[in-house]
Amino acid sequence: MRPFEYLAPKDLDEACSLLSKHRDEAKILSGGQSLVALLRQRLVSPAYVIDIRRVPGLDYIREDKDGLSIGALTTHRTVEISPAVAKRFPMLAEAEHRLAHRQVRNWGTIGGNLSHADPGGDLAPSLMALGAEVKVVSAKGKRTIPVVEFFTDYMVTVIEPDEIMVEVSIPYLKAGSGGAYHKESIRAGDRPIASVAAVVSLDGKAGIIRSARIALGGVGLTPILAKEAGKSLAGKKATAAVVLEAGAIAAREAQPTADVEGSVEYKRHIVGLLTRDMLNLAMARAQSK
Amino acid sequence: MDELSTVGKSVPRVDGTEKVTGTAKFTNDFALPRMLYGKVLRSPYPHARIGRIDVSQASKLPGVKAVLTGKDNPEGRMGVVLDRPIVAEDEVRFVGEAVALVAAESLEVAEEALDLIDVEYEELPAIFDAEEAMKPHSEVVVQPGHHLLPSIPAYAGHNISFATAEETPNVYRAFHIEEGDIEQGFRESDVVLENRFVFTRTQHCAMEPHCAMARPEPDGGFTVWASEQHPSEAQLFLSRIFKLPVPKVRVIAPYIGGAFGGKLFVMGMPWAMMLARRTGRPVKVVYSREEVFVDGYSDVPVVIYIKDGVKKDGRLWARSVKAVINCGAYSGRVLLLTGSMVMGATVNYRIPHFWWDSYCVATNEPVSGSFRGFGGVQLIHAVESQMDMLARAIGMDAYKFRRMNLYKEGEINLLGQPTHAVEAEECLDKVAEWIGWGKKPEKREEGPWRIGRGISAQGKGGLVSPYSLADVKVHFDGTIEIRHGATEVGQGCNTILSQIAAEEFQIPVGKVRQISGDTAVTPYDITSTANLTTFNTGNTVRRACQDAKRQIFEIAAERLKVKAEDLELKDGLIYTRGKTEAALKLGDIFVPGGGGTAKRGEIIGHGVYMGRDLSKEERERILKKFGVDYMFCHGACALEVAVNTETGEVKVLRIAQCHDMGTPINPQACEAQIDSGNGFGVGRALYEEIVIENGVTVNPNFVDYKIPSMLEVPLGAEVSSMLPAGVPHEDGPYGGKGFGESTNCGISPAIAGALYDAVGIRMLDLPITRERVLGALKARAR
Amino acid sequence: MKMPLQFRVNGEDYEVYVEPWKTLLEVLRDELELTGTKAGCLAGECGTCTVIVDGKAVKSCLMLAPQAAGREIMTVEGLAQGGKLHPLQQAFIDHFAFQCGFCTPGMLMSSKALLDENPHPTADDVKEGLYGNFCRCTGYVKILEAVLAAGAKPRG
Repeated sequence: MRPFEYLAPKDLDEACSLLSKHRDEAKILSGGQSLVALLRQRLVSPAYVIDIRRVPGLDYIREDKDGLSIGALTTHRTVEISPAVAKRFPMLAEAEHRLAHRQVRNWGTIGGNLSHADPGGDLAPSLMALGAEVKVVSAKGKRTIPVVEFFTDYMVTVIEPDEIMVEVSIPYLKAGSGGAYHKESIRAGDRPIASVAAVVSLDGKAGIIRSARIALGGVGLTPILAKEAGKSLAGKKATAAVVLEAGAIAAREAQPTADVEGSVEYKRHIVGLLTRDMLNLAMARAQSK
Repeated sequence: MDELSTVGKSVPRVDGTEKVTGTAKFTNDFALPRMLYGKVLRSPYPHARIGRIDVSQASKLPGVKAVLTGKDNPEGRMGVVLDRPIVAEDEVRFVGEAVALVAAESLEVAEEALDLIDVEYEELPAIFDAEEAMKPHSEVVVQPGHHLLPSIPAYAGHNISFATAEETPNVYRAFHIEEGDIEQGFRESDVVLENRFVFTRTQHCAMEPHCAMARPEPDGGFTVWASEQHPSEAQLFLSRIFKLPVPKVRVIAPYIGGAFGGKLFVMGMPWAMMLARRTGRPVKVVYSREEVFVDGYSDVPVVIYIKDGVKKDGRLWARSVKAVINCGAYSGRVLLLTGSMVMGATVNYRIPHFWWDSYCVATNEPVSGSFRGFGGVQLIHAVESQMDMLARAIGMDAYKFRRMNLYKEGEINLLGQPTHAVEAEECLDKVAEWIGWGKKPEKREEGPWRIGRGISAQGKGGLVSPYSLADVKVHFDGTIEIRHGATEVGQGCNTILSQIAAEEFQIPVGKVRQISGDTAVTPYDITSTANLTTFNTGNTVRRACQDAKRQIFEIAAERLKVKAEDLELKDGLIYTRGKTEAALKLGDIFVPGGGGTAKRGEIIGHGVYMGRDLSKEERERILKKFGVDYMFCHGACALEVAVNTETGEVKVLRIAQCHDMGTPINPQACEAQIDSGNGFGVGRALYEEIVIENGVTVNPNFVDYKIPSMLEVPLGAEVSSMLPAGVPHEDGPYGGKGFGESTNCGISPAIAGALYDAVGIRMLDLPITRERVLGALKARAR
Repeated sequence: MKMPLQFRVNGEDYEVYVEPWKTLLEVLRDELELTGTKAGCLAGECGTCTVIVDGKAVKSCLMLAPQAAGREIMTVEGLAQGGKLHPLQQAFIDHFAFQCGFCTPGMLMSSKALLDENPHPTADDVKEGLYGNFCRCTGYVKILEAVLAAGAKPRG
């Protein structure tokens, strides 16, 4: 690790003013489960590390009127075992369940995870499929960004150097909707070979898919919203063939590269399978509501 | 033999309290005043000529105390045939080879200094594939003239010859054995089956990364602490290369955090010593996990061609094997493995016609080393996969086919050595029964999953002809101190050796203290490897105890006016045979105060073990065939897998292993060694491989190199680690023998067999990744 | 560049001066000389550096030391109380649940955190809590047995 200056702002205002002062020279530390490893390997060497861990008011899970709001400093473990999350978004608890290991989930935060923007991250696909938004603040003010617009390139997001993520908000699913997420990985807790989140909204008794959103993890430079696959389902009767076809489209929308988790071909194959399985699970959940 | 009091009992491990309280010290847990941190600059090229090395910037960095290059090397070389410079000199020959060393006040400064060293390289053509490299007149020669290098005497017994021709300059060693007439054997066979098996490189992944710390001593010598499996050899070796009198290099091996064959190469020690010599301060070198992967003497990539002939009635009739072993850029123990690997094909099945060729070939990959099984993982996978296919070809049950071909007690195997105290049949029977061999599994499929079963048998040797010494010091209060050069790498040797000593002295294990792996105090022991510690060091400790007792009895006999042979010792009391009242307390033979005895001083028993007593005929036969004497340990594995036909994922659902170990000195410790093989075996079979692209290791970490966690192995009721009845080995201590290296070798072929049973695909190569399985399933569907 | 760091380790208050780029692992091992906690990969992958921070198992190689300020840390050295082994430690000995012993401190701390949260875990619970701790010696068989045995005992 290269030496840096450590700064621990007392509150969000101080954090923002430190960030606006140091901008690119600074890195924000929250749980550090990704950052400390990068520092150790000297892949990043900031002059300042701004530790926001003790900034008050960013560790919460709140059931608001229209959706669930999660503070950016909430740990993965808190989300994983939260009754509110289990009730509202079981797919999110499932995503957390295989995020690295328990020790990492105990200290790592969801804000840190999303800002780190690993394309194989476990949370982004579900949040994309659910239509979630993140709130970021800076000394200049605050803004809200849909998660689907959040990731721009490999480990790059739309967050400006002076901004801090403070909240993730997820709109509640409407009646007749359900979601599911699964990561296929070589070992538990590994990076995904591919991961797929699906949220489906059904039209009551008709067995017609009103809309579907499918998002993919670990198969591109960023998490990917598989728009065409989602679109292909809208207005269709939920047959096995339709679901399989959506899987094939999602596999084409994936942009994987080969690595130790699998070849390009294999990753696409897994995207197809998972899309099928997650759509089926999401629809079963939609019907059970 | 009388009822034993300690041997054969599952006494708790003697290192237990230390290891569960965090007080057990590993090398990296020591720190010294004024200690510096050493780091190694490593080559980014697989083969290059080194030009100018500019260390001026690095040397100027505040906190840097030394920057050394190959010019600062002592004269000696590393490697089994002394071919590897401690730091590269004119050329680098693999990615990861040491090019410069830094010692600094902190790790951060040392790392920063590495970045400031400027090295000019002129890239040279490199070769990575062993089969390419062994072709005559290879354009790339890894080390010109290497085959003229001398062998070193410490490995006496292993005939490391360089009989290879000038036109194959990358072949370090060739090894050949034959029996009968192989061509005739194939002609007489009813079915002949030939296959090629490819094995990639794997890492031991001991949880403790390699570490060495050297302290310069005022007399010009060094004390070196290191995670090193053979401290005695390391002392001799280091004193030789640093041109120091032997006692001026004191090597101490504290507890070792796992080794599995990977801590045998004086790793890090010469670097720490060079830096300590230059700076006059203690220097610690800790490998990063990445360094363990690139320069940790990983297991060898091997290609095995195997051709088998079998009679319709089930008799194995002929087998020929050619193994091409990728040694990497310099000689490691793979040179020895080139011969030893033959065991996996020669010690469990009777074969009248046999032919073996193996070649150890240099390439520009990282240096290969020894690994738990010493070639057994690869060869047993190939042999046992063949056994499955042969059985099928003649319409015989795979279990019965194996069983009928196993050697029986007393038969001379293909190495010219007797089959003795092996329980191969019983092992096979026990695992077959546990898994329900011959009966259908409860379920054959569920969703995309298919279930299948596989079985394997295996044989492996344990060296019984090296050189092990031990001393036993007896104290007046009835406690004893064993001094031995074996190292506690986790296998439990300190417990086993304590039990043997406790049995000899008829005292509780708690009255035995160990001093191990400190060359200033402990006598020579060849190494803690090769299944040999229980057998060899065990025998040695037992002999040392007997020697000490003899001394005690001689003194007591004089005092009591009885014959020494009529005396017995139990819990610090000396008895005349047949009497229930003690004649003397042990303390009575010591001078008042207990420092020693009047005439003989300290009571120290010496033990020596150099192998079995062989008849002239036996010795000649063994020398002619193989050169080294072994004892043999056999085992069997049966398991059940589920394979996902959509993804190719394979899960081991249930696993049973049974291994013979003569008299189990500590049954629960033996079970633990079998459990241990499960994790290793499943990892090797399904997940583990070092990926090297153009000489560069692309996955040198635990994220990308996938050792199993608790969720990838069967546990609880799904595991049975069994011991057979326990036939004592006539030369082992209390009939015991080692076997820990065998328990990971039979798993991959059983998995491959189970896959065939489940879905009809035959996976020849390791690892059997999900993607390879899916590929095979698709190919089969076409 | 050193900064003061006050925290509680194994029930004792400490104040040390550390460079902020040191990890909790380094401070425990190098400053406090509590070398029971091990460094196996320094990348948060192997679990040998696991300690308990405010009741949760964390990997101390991934926690910058200043983040430990004011917190309650427990390391393997803090498990035994008053010269008496913790039931988990005893179970590890009784069940031969260690071999080389290098993963053992981390394994024990993950197990302790697990039992504190869930005193009577099932086998699946144990696996979930411990799969971030690698062991290369035991095949995990006897580790699972030991943790289940410690968890089966009534706890007062």
